[in-house]
Formats: sequence, C-alpha cells, structure tokens
Amino acid sequence: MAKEKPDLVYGTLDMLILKALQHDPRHGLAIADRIQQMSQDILRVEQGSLYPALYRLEAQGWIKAEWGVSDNNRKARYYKLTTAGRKQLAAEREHWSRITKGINLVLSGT
Amino acid sequence: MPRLRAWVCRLLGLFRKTSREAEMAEEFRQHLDALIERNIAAGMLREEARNAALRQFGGVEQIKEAAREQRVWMWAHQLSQDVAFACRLLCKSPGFTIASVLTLGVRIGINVAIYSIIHAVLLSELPYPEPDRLVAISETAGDSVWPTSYPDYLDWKAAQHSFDDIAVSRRDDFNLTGDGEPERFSGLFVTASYFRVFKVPPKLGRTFFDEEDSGAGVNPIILSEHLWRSRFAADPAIVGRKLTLNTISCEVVGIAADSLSIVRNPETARNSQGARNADLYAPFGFYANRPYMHNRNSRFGFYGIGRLKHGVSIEQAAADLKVIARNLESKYPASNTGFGIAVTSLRDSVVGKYGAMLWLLEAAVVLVLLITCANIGSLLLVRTAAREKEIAMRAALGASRGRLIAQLLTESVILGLFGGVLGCLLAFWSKDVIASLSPHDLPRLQEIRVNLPVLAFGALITMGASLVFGLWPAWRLSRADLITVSKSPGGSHPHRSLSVLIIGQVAFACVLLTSASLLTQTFRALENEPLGFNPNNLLEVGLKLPGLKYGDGKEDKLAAFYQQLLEKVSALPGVQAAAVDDDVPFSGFRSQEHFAVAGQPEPRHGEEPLAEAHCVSPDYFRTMGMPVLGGRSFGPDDVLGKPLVILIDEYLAQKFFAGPDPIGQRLYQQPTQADKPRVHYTIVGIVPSVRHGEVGLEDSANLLASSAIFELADDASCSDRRGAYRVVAFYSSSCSLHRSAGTHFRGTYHAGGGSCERWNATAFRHSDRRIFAPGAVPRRARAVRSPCLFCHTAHA
Repeated sequence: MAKEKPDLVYGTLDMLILKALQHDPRHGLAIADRIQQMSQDILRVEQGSLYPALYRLEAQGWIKAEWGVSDNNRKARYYKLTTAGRKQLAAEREHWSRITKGINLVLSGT
Repeated sequence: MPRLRAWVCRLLGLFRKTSREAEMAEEFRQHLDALIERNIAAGMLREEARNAALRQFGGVEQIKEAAREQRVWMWAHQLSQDVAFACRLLCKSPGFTIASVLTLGVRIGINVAIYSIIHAVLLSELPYPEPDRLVAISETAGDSVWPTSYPDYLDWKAAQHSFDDIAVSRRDDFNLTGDGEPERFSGLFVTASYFRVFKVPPKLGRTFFDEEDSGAGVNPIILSEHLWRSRFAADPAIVGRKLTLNTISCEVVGIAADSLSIVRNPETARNSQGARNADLYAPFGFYANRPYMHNRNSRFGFYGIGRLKHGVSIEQAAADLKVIARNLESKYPASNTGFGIAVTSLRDSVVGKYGAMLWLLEAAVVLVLLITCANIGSLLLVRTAAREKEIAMRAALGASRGRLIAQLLTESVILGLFGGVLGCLLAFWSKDVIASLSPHDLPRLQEIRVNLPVLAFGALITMGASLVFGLWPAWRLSRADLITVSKSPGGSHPHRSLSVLIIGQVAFACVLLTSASLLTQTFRALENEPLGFNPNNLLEVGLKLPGLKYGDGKEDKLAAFYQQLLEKVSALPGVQAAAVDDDVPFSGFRSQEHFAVAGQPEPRHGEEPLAEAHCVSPDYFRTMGMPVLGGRSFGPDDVLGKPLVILIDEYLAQKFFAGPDPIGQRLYQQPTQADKPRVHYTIVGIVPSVRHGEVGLEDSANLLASSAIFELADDASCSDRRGAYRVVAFYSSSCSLHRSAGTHFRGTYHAGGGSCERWNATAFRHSDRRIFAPGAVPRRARAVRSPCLFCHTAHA
C-alpha cells in the first residue's frame, strides 16, 4: 500500500479542511473542491487522505456530520465546524503563521 | 476534554459499527456518483465517466480501511477479530498447537517455579518490623567467621552505641520426657533481648525477662508455634504448664511466632539432622553455671543478632564494634588476640551462599526458555511461509504492515498465553516437589508459594517469550509482497531466517551444555573424591542422653548404656557392624582440640595445632570401612586405667611425623586449668584421612584417640556435649534396614532402657545434601586447613 506523495505540507490538511468549513457546512467532494478553488488549483486533496482526515476530525469533535441534500438534489453527508473546531482552527492558524513567518525569515535572509 | 470526547466517540463507534460501515459506504457511493455526474457533464460517456471517477477517487477499500483506523476504537475490534482468527488457525493444526503449548508450558513452569523460590528466599523482606535494621554479628579471625563467646557478647552489649539491642542464641537439643511419648526437639538458648531485637510479639504469654539470662526464677521456656500446634494441639492453656526437658522441670511461659524460626542459628542450619527450625526457646539462665558461659575462649555456637538504631548504617555499626573488639584484644590478649567483629545484614546471612546459586539457576532456565522460543519461532516461520500468498493478498486489499504484524503476533501471543497458564499451573502443582528437592538448609523453604508477584513474573516472561518467538516471523512475513510471492509457485523459503534461528539455538544450547557438563564434572569429581570412609550402606542416628542421669561422675552408666545399645544394634537383622562417634563426618558438628607432640619443641601458647577430635567406639573403623593403615585399631584392653591410646590419620602423620614412625609416639593436650597435669596419649595406629565437612575441603588431620569415650571432662565444650553421640551402623546391601531403620532403632532403644529419645535414622549418603550443592564448590577452596583429633570413648 504505497503512499502517494502528498501535495500538501504534512499536517496541514486538517487545518485546510477546518478552514474550508469555516462559513458553511460542506460534503466531502465540496470540501476538496473548495480547497482546490481557494488555492487557485495549486492544492489538490486526494480522497485517500480526505476521508481519513474527516473521520479523524470528527472523532476529535472538531467537526460534526449529518446527512443532507446537495445542490443537485443528491443525498450527501455534510460536515459542520463545531465550537471546538473553530478554536482549533484559530490555534492552527496562529501556529501556521508563526512557522511560516519563521521560515520566510530564514529564506529571505542573506 | 476533546480527548475524552474522542474516546467516547470511538467507544460508541465500536458499538455502532454496522451503521457506521453502511454510512461510510453510502457516503463514498454518493461521492463517486457526484464525480461520475461531473465527468458526464464534462462530456464523457457513462462508462468512461465511471472509470475516470474510480481512478480519481482511488482504492475504495484502502480508503475505507484508512478511514476506519481513524474512526473507531479500531484496535479493540481488530483484536477480537485477530484472536478469533488465530484461534481458528491454531485449531486447524492441533499437533503444532499442542506441542508448542506443552513445551512452552513446561519451560515457563520451570521459570516460574524457580522464580517462586527466588522470590521467597531472596527478594521478599524478612517478616519482621523494619527488617533492614536487623544484622547478624559474629567474630572473625583472619578470613574465617567464628561464633562469639558469652562474655564477649556481654561486653559488646555494654559498650556498643549503634544498636537498639543485641542478642545471642545458641542451639541445643532438648529431650522432652514425662508427657506422652518422649521426643527430641531442636531448641535455641536465647537472651531475653532476642525477642526484642526481632520485635515480634509472642503469640501467647510473654517473652523472657532480662534477669532470666542469668538464671533467676523457675526455668521458663517458650515453645514455637509449630511445636505448640503439632504436639500440644494449640492448647490455649499451655502457658503455665510444667514440662520436663533434659530432666529439668520447666514452665512454659509463652508461644513464639513461627516467623522467628526463619533465622536459624548457623549450626542448626549446618546440621543435617537438626535442620528443623527451632522448636523451643530457653533462656541462658538454664545453663547459667556452665563453664562456657564464663569462659571467653569458649566460642562455641554463640551467634549474635542486633537491631541497628535509626539512621545507623551497617558500616557505622561495624566501626563501632571494631573499636570494642580492639579494646577486648588489649584487655584479654589470651583469648581475644586476632579476633574482630563482623556485621552483616541479617537477610544476607539468612540467604548465605544461595543467592548466587539461585540466580544462576534462573539464568539457566531462562536460557532453556530462549531455546524453546527459538524452536517455536522456527516452527512458526515454516508455518507462516506457507501463508505468504494469503498475507500478500491481505496487504493488497488494504491491510497496513502494522496491522499484519499485529495479527501474526496475536497468534504467537495466544500460543504463549496458553503456555503461560499451563506453566503457572505446573509451577503451582510442583512447588512442593521442588521444595522437597531443595537443599535442606535452604532458608525460608516453607514460604515458597505461587503468589501475585510470581504470577506477574510468569505473565512477564510469557509475553516476553511470545514476542521473542513471534516477532521475527511476523516481521518477515509482513514484508511479503504480492508480485514476488504470486510469481513464485510455492512462496519463498525462509532459509536465511531459519538458519539464524538455528545458529542462535545451537549457541544457547552450547552455553547450557558446557555449564551443565562443568557442573556435572565438578559434582562427579566431588562424588568420587575419596572420603576416607565408605558412605554406602551406612545408617546414622543422633541421640543425646540427659546430663543428670549420665553426666559427671556417671561415665560408667553412660558407657554401659552405649555398650548395651551397640550390642542390640549389632544384633539387628542385616547390621554387620555398629559403632558410636561423637561427630560422624558430615554431621555438621566439628569439635577441634589443641594438641602438641611430645618430644618436639613445645608450641607457643595460642599457636598449638588443632585437630578434629572424635570419640569413637572400638568397632568404628570396621563400621565406617576405614582400613587401619599402620599399627592397630582399638582393642578390648584399651580401657580406662590403662595408658590412653589414640589413632591418627595419614595427614596428621605426614604433617607432624615426617621422619620417624608415628606409632608409639605420644601426643599431649595442655590442661585447661594450670594445676592439672598434661594428658598424654600414645599413638597406636594410622587410618586414612577422613572428610569431615564439605567435600572438597583440604585434608584435615584426624587424630583417633582411644581414651575413655567420656574422657574430656575438664574441657568446657565437652562437658556440654557429654552424652551426645551418633550411632553408625553398617548393614548389608541386600537388607532393607534403611527403610525400617527408624522403627528398628527406636524399638532397640526403648528395649535398652532409654526413654527419652526419638530416633531419626537416615541412610548416610542421603543425610548430607550439602555434597550436592554446587554453590559450595568455590567456598571450599578457601576453607581453612585444619587437622583433626579423634577420641575413643570406651573406658568406663
């Protein structure tokens, strides 16, 4: 079972999923689309990583799932950010900006 | 909080498994459908759109598996699956399963059993309050450890600053008469402080008072709990009862807890016949006027114990006692020159030589277990090699490597668990057998049991063993990859792994075999080492006559008694010869006497040579199978009033009579009191050197003295030992005497008019297990070379 090379920086998928759910509940495919769209096609989320991540976030209590009906009248499982999830998103953003700031400082140094 | 929630979610997930599975399938189906629709919208045909969507989505089952792992308490579910699967597999090959479980069970059983001994003997605390503060105190001269003397003890007690209290004990035998069947008990003389040092309260009544150390009041005695239960049916009214011990009327004042008898007086432990724990306790006041209670030179069997003050270390106490020893040396140069005081922790002194021995044994059985693990490991490897295809298929279907290893390990752990349970049961059933096979002087034998810590050890080695034999096959197999495996027709062969396992097995087996053969060789060498006598078909019986009836001035009665006894024993069917000796070899007692050779320069005081002294009856050498190498044996004419004659052993002859023929020469003993004349003995014969203590000791000179049996009256040690003899009987090998010996001898004894003895006859060869103790080997090499002196006892 070889692992695909992830497009994403390791460990950031959870944060991106939380971000994608920040305003509206979405189903799996919509989350993948949303991330792709927001990143202007730079980031692609594979289903192989998406669903394990969704289930992990759900088990952590950061997102909540319920069945709903999609735009094109299809049954779909919608994921919604919980309060704990919002806090987690804020924490991860804060962490991420610190890290990237540090990395940028290193890279832009002489 | 999120963590807890996650756990609850996972736990609930476990129970809602089916609905979650269905949900997941539905969700994935909807996702795929959405992708297909999207593809159709982009202009693909239906079939094409579906294939493209499947490619986009990836391996559905693999994603499901990865998602599952995130979701529920997967391991619990997986574990139950694995266990069920493993059980099915093991049931399918009952031969392999039963063989593995049995081998493992036996090996684990041995490990647990040995550990149960280690736990009881070495690891558990002594059952006294604050046991770490208890120490054993003895005297030392050079490298050898000595008992102390009673006056020395009194001085220590008065001068020491390191102990809450110190005490001494001294073993002795007690004959109980006038209360049902006469019986002989092993007892301890103790100071009143003895019980205070241990801080163990009496079960009933009281302990001794300090004034009873010097003989005030009635003769109080304290019974041990086991004697109280076995002989007196735990009679609650025992306190205050009068008993006759050694013909002296005593009053029972208390019952001592059995935990006290764990600490044996070293002489009790050494003596093969007196290996019982102390049956009763008497105060030193019992024998207050005995010479050895006042003679500083009489280091006869007094062993000290002490309880350190809070915060005082053993080293500090040793330094304290060292000063006292030096003061005693300068104050009493005649008796105390060269004597120091040694302090060891009581636990070490109780365990003695068995510490290293038991660990060695444990190491050996662990090695055996490892060999078994390698065995089962290679069996598993061969078995699992046949399953490579299955495993590769499972990997292809989405099982992760860890998941595969876990499943394979489950199998070996289940094997191990069955083995472990069987092993613990075996250990539980065999603990009595093992205890009965252990050396009789192994301390705390009664405490051996399979308890919680021992079971924990069993669980630990079971898990350890399962991992050892399971991990490798599992790891190896989990690397199987579908392509290579499916290409080769029969699966690959685990040649290399197997050979590594076999190499390991052979290496361990070599180590074991080498050490075992070394041990066996040592043992054979010890067995074959000439003892100087023939131990086959010998019976020995110890007995002691009451001093009042047969003591000072009544030697004629004593001699008559033994003469009569020997006649009766000799007349027993099968008995070919019988004799008495006050210290038969390996009895555990050795009495040494100073002597000097007449006509040679007189040794300086305190430097007289020592020899083992034996008092024997004339038939002794025939009974023991000792040829008289030169001169003659004792004869009927060697009676009191005639010149005192002795036999010496070869070693003494070579050491002290290198030139002239020793026969006809004379030895003498310095009198213990200045106004008495020297006692001279004429040497009439030479016999082979006899081993007295542990086999492997350097030769001791034996001096076989034909004086009156009960002749050494002016010696402090002998006045107490008077009447204590061992009867040896040589019987024909066709005779089953050893089986009925107890009855025969007892009958004979009672017929002979004795009424105060219980006999415990033992076949000689089996009476001394120390010969079989491998731990004793290295010590012997360091043992002091000491000559020895025999005294014949026949004159009345």
